[in-house]
Amino acid sequence: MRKKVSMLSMTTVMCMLVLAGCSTSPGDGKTPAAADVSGKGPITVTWGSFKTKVQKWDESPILQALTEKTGVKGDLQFYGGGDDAQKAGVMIAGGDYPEVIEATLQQQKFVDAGVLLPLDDLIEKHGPNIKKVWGDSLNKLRNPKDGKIYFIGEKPRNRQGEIIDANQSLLIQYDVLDKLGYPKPKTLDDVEKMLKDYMAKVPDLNGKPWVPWGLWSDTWGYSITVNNPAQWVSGFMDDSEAFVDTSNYRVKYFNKTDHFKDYLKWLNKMYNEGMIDKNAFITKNDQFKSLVSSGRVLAMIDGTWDVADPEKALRKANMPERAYARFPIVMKEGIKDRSQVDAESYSWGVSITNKAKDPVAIIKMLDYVASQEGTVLMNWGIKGTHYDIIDGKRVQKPEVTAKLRDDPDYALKLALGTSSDFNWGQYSSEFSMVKLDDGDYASPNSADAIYNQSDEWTKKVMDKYGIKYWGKMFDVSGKPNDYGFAWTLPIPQNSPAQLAVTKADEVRHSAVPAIIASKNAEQFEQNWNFFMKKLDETKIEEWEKTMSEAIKERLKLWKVSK
Amino acid sequence: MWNFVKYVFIFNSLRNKLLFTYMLIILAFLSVGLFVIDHIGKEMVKQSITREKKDVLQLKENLANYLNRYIDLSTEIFFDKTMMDYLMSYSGNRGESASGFYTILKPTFQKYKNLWPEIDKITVYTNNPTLMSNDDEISYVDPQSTEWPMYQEALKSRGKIKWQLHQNDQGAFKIRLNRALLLDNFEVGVLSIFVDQEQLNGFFKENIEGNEINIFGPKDMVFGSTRPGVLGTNGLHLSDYRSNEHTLRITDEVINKKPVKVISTNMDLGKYSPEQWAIIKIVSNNLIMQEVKVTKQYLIYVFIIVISLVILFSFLIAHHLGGRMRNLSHSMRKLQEGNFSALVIDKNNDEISYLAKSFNKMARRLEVLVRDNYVMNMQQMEMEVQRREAEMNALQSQINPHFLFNTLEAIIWGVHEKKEETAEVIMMLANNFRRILNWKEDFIPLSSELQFIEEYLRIQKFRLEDKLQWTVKVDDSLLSMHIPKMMIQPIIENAINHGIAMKKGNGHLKIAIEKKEGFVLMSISDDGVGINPEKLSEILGLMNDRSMNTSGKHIGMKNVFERMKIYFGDRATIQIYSEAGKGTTVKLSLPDRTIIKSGGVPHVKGSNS
Repeated sequence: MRKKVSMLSMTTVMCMLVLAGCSTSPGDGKTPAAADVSGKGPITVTWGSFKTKVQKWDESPILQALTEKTGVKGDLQFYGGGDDAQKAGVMIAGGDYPEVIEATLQQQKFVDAGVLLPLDDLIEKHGPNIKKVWGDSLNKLRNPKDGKIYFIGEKPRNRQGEIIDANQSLLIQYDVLDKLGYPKPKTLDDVEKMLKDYMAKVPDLNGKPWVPWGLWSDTWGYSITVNNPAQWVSGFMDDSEAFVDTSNYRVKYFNKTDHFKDYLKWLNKMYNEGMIDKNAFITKNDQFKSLVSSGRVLAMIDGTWDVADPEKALRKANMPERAYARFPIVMKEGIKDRSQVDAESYSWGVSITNKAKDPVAIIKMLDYVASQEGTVLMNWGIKGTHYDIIDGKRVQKPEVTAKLRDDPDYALKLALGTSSDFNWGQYSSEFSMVKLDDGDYASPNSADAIYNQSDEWTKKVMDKYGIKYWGKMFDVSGKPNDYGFAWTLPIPQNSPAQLAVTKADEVRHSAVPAIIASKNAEQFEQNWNFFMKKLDETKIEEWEKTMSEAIKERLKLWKVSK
Repeated sequence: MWNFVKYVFIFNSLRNKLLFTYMLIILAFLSVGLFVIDHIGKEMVKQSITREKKDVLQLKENLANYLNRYIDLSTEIFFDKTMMDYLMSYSGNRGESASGFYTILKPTFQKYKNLWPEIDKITVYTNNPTLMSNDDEISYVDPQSTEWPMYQEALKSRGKIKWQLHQNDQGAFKIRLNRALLLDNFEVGVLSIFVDQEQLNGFFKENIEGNEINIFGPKDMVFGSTRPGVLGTNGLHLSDYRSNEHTLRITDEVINKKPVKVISTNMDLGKYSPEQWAIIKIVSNNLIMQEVKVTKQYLIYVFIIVISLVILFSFLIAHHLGGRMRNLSHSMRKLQEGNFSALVIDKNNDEISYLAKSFNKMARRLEVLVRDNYVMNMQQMEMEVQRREAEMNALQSQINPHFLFNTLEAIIWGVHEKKEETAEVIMMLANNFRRILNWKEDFIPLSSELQFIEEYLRIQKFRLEDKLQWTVKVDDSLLSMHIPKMMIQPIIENAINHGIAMKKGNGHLKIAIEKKEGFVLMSISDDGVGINPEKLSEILGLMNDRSMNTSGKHIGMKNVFERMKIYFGDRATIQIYSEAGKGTTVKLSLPDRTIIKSGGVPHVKGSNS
């Protein structure tokens, strides 16, 4: 019996020894870069995004590498795709928001609700790389009300290089250009004529009628396919709802301006000629994308990113000639296109909420992403897996390039580069080429690389226009707005201004389709006047007043003198 | 049987009897247990059927509630006059319809979708060409549309709900509620609510693998099933088992060669949805039995363990008790054989140990008793032998050749001188011998002894003539007292032969017998030569020597002494006082025998002395 007891105690001791051995092992060996979290293994941070893309942390080797480096793992949740504003409101009201949030258009709601941590001290203490990459631009992240930083913008716009691609622009199918001998349209009328000429040559697509001019105006589609195109063709930068009189910085609701009315006139003409889909005004993004993916949409003014997935789908469906070339476009000759001119202002980014258990670990992780090493990881991926060093230069592996081009889900799942939802704070921009301190590019986006990555049709079209990337189509030398982008101005939640602009948004969604669908000039005027009347009922002047004041405040904050 | 029982109870060992009893108890226990297990099994079957019934009823209620949510929703839309007006409106400018879309249709549907996120899509199908459509909230149908048949069918049912299981382009199944929308009896469109079919899987969460739950929509189409791959089909052929009433129906069936219980019930969804739904649950008998079997097995295991323990313990107890009893009986048998040392060692503290202790006590006492008895017997035997020996010695002394020779010499001498006296002496001598020979009793009255002494003294007087004088002084009350025979004579013989005969001149012999304090004192004194001290101590040493091997010396005295010891033990004393030249006195002290009757002392039988 005594022997048994001693045997038992022996095994217990051995177990304890084994346990002790186990518990000590994480301490040595691979230690995460963030010193504070070592020994505990990665901490998991709930990480919400109002973007619509869905990726899983564990499926991406790049994000796993990020965890290994920083000791932070994101539990990713995506809220985008529905009624974002309502969702954000419910989240704030219910106190049900994650530790880290990328609120995009809902950013101001979270700032106003006071659920975000001011990042100034955290950046000061733990963010040397953030400070380095942002420089003086950090000031432009400050909330005008209290001068504090509540989010880190997706990327600093203080080192504008050449742009690679347009953000939003005129898009025309390669085949249209090809059949017409590669003309270069300058005005909307040029485009209209091209489309008609093409349809005369090619009446339909496998028996299905063309949709010559693409447009979708449900939700934010109104902004990028109705409102913003009107601004660009008028030679403005994207100020969204705002029209800013640069002589006195007075803001007017853009849809009230004649610039907008002129664009609607052109759309009205297109509509009456059957060039616009009859149902476009209530079409949703998904349906529009599937329409574009069918290859039936010949041209549009839209975000290049909005057609990125359809273009990939088209190439996959063996219709590479249905992808789109990018052009600057204006209403009439004499107007200078400024659509791709960038202005430095920021309205959203990544924020740490007051739910965060370890804000220091999170800011350290963000700081790593903002470092040059982090930039390489996020943009190039893992050395040997996604890129090699050839002649001292980073070169993306050909199979990775091919997959990125052809598989819409590849970059997303991998969280690689510009398709990653973690592209904030980086040196590169989706649309520009930036060099790091090591003299090499911050991302695989270099002129040659981009050209080489392109499919044959794209190369062919670019060759015809003598360019290596679409950015070359655009003149970015135009004068940027000194107030940045007007849409980045924060408007207090539930203020009369916000209420008015919300109502106005509903009014423009409801009333503008009728204007575009007017059967004649008389009806057009009638509908336009009705629209103006309806806008007046929303007390939009409250918003105009608030916006004007906000611009003046910002100019003061940014120390722009006029 | 009876013989067996008798055998067991009469002839077998205690251990086996105990075991037999235990086995009987276990047998009883076992049969009761088996009965209980069987009963529990039956009860479990009943219970699990009851439970299945309850489950089905619960499922029915939950499912009805769930579907009613969408029926209610459709009813709400059905009576939404603003929306009906919008759907009825004809606008010359198609773009104007966007206004109704953004202010009526979209926000209303969005509200419902927010309330019930599981709703995939709410769509109104319309034939109104002036309304914009987006295949989401609103969809245009005409005879070319794939939805046209659905549209027509729904319109025909005039506001009553038609259910469908719809498979979308991605192959996902949606439960689809179709309902005609009417405004003042005029058809304005068809409402469809799409809900993920997977939602129904939530109702199967509790289902045990092996059982099957099927939810049948209209036309026996499978809307939900735990069986994979049957969604949207009506090939299950289970409608045969369908209940005709709304109560539960349970039937025993054989499906796929397996015995099952089919529990079915119809489900009514209210006046707006007249199509009958049904729930059919197929419960595998095997599964029920399996459950019962598992429980039974468990019970049996417990039973076996308990019984094994009981058997083990009964064996141990029986063995223990039996062993101890065997020990006891073994010791008893040994005791029977006379082995007193065969004690039982039993450290327990119960009846058996009490028995063992009692046995031990008894054995010990028996041993003592036996030993005492034996020793006494031995002592008696020894005493008898000694007595016989003494008697023989006495006899020997009586026929002392010296005495005979001397007497005969005197007689011869007397024959010449005094003829008359001589004849008398011869007669006395004869008497004397006869008396010795005739004294068969060990004890004789004192008077007889005295008479014998008188005759002996007269024979000696005849021989010694005037040299011998004597006086006898006896307490008359003592004459009848019995004393051992020949007790006094040897002392007198000694006194004459070694005292008076050796003396020059006349000698006087005094015999006194008297009572004193419960004792009888006999004093024989002579005034002869006496005994010198060395001789006296030699005599006294001889007297105390227990051995009988005396070589004829002082036989008489020792004989007397030995016999006194035999008969009276320490209560008799003999004292010798002597002074050389002055004489010797021998004092005998005996217990007063007048109190004890003759024969009060055990005699040794069979002696023919």
